[in-house]
Amino acid sequence: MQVVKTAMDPLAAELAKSIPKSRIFTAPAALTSFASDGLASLATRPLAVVIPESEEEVVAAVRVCHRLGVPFVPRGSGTSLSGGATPVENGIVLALNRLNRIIRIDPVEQIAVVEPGVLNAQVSQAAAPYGLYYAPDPSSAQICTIGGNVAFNSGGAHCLRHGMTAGHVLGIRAVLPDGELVELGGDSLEGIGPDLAGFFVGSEGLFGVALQIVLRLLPVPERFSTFLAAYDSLEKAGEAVAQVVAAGLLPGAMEIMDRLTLEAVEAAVHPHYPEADAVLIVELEGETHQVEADFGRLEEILAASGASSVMVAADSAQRALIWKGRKSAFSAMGRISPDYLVQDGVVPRTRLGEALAKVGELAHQHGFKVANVFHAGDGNLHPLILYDGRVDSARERAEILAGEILQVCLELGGSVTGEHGIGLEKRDYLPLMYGTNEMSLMRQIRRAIDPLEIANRGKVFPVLGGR
Amino acid sequence: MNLTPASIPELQDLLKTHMHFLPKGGGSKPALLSSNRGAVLEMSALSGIVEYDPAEFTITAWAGTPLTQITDVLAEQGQYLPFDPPLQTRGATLGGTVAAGLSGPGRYRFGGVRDFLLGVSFIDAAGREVTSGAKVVKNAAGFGLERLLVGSMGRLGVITQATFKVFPLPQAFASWRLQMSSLQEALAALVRLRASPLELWGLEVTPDLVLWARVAGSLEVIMPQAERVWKLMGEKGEIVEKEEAEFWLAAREFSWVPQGHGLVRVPIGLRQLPALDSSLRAQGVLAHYSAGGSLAWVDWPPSARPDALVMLLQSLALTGQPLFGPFYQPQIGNIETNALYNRVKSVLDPLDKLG
Repeated sequence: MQVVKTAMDPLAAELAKSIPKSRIFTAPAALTSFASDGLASLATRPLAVVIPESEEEVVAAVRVCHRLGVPFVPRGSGTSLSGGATPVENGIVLALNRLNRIIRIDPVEQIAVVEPGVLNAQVSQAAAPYGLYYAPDPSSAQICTIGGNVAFNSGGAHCLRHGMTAGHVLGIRAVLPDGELVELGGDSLEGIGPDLAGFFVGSEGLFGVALQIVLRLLPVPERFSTFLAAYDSLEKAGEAVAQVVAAGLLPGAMEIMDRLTLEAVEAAVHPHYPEADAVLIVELEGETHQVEADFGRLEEILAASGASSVMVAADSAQRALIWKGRKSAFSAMGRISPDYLVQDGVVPRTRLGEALAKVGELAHQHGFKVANVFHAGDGNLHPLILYDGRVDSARERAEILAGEILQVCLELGGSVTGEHGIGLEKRDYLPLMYGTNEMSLMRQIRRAIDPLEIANRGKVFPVLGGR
Repeated sequence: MNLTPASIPELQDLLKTHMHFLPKGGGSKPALLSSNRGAVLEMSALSGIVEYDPAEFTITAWAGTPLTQITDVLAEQGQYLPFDPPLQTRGATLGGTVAAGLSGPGRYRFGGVRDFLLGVSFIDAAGREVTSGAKVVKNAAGFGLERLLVGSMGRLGVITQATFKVFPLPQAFASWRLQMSSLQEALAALVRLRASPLELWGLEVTPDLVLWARVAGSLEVIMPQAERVWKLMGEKGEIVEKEEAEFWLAAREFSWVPQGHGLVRVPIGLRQLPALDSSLRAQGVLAHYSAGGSLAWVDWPPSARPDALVMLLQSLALTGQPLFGPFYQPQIGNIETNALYNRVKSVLDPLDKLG
């Protein structure tokens, strides 16, 4: 305790020069609630939690950390599934939730300027009166923050058509880890020079803290048509996706859930999905005439795809229910398993069937149940490995299986993460995806931006010499 | 001096020497090469499609591949690059388009080059080969180096390959056009069209103030869609079917720019547009507004002094990227140093050999 105390005193005193003591927490009880994020199995108690209320306070805190060489972890709502906001021992957590102002919605330029603690869904709510919305929609949209979305280049169900967060961030004001302020990008759809705002997106907190973010807003699609097709096998559902793509359709979303997921979801939120081994959601969106034309084509494709039933949401309430089931899939796992581990590897879309078969084989070999829910249009898997953390070494064995699943994704030519990021969880897998040149270049860039490596230390890069 | 490496090792060897370099693709944007201090790295030998699987919506090609080749190969499979890369008929290449950060009028619909680039391979100034991103449509692993290379104008590395997301090509296009009486009227029309859920594939205002809006889709819906635009705009203007493609081709290829004139790309917003337009008109200069008014293409006549545009942009806190004309700088107008850029540059090109 002596060491902690001496490290803490000058830090707290320095922080208190710029931030009221009432918002600097050092008592163990207060720190425990920040000890982990959505990846609850990894927990570390930080030295302190600082809750800034303004840009100036964030900058002041970062500068104190830089001066004293104290690591800091920026944090939004803590929904990261890769341990991206797990605290660092002997470091502080910068909880950004109170930087939650929507600075402006500009319906003419079709942009929103927001602080990092604004919730994803709040942006669309604020833009709705102008007929606009913010397209990226992670399943956690109701609680996750824009700052976190920026840090992790978050995805969601509509990436095939609309892309990821990086495509919707036009400008960022950020504080670099040594306290220098930078303006990246701007208000226009177009820019000149390297896409620095795009580069900042997905840097997982290693480049510092985004203080203000310019988001691109889109007109709300005029019409949605949400189809739900049931299949007696995952393969058939996967083939239907391939046929939709081959027909030249570009749906807003294509999602598949397997039987295990359907059971969990039905128990949790009662979306009234049909009894099936796999369910495929295909959502058309856009201008009315085009959606109506595509409706007929999609109906034909699904009817010929061997679906045991096809239903279409009759109204927005039914559409919302279909999506509620899908978006609750992770949290619903609690209904069928004490614990779960989720991966989000990507494979080429045409190799989805192969990937799922291998996931199934591996699960069987390791003696785990794996539920599958995935963004089929993107080839983005979400295998949920179900385990019981009270059983000795179950967690470790589940992690081994998760690692093997990521290997499969790489062997099939994909990625270890489509949208959850590397964080703490997958840092040992990044070097399997990139070569030594890429890894050393990324490390060099990190050090050029943050020589002390205080910004989200321990994330993204494997610790040299192993864990 | 022009050097034409025929392989990656040759290119790496060249970069390991202590010379200044600037990579060149098809030379379709000559002003971007005019600030070069050293040797020209001709990328023409590193050309060809590496991988294309229509079912994956992805294509990978060497940087020196002419865009016309890529467009043709994609069109055979009913697909296209939705950001509508410009200057194709003048020989623009895939690598040059990424390095210049250029998108055409079609970027209005689904996004620009930054939004469709999935990965790049490049050689840094020390000769190190780096591959960033992935050949799948979704990826969040590691730093987004591919986005950093968009618009890097050859200063951060020599792009050797790029992977793009592609989309299905619509069956048909149609356009609506209307002669506007003033910029103010054109802006009001832009605001109205942008806010509507009509899903326009392009939205442009020509130097003589004709507003063009493009719709696309299946054959059976194209006319109803165009009629909706016409109705939304008070049943004014006309729907153009057959000859509309000519207009969009000219917009993409800048064939409307007179021979010998400069062309400068200026990112902007609708609120700033009137100030730019009136400053330009005061000097007898015209601009074409693209991507719903997010971009001004300034047609700079040879009779006007280049530094007058530099000052004009500075006074409006705008930045320009010259593609044609004697500007001798990759950026003009309001140029600010950026700490993030400088730090990245110090890693990728510490000796400042590129550019």
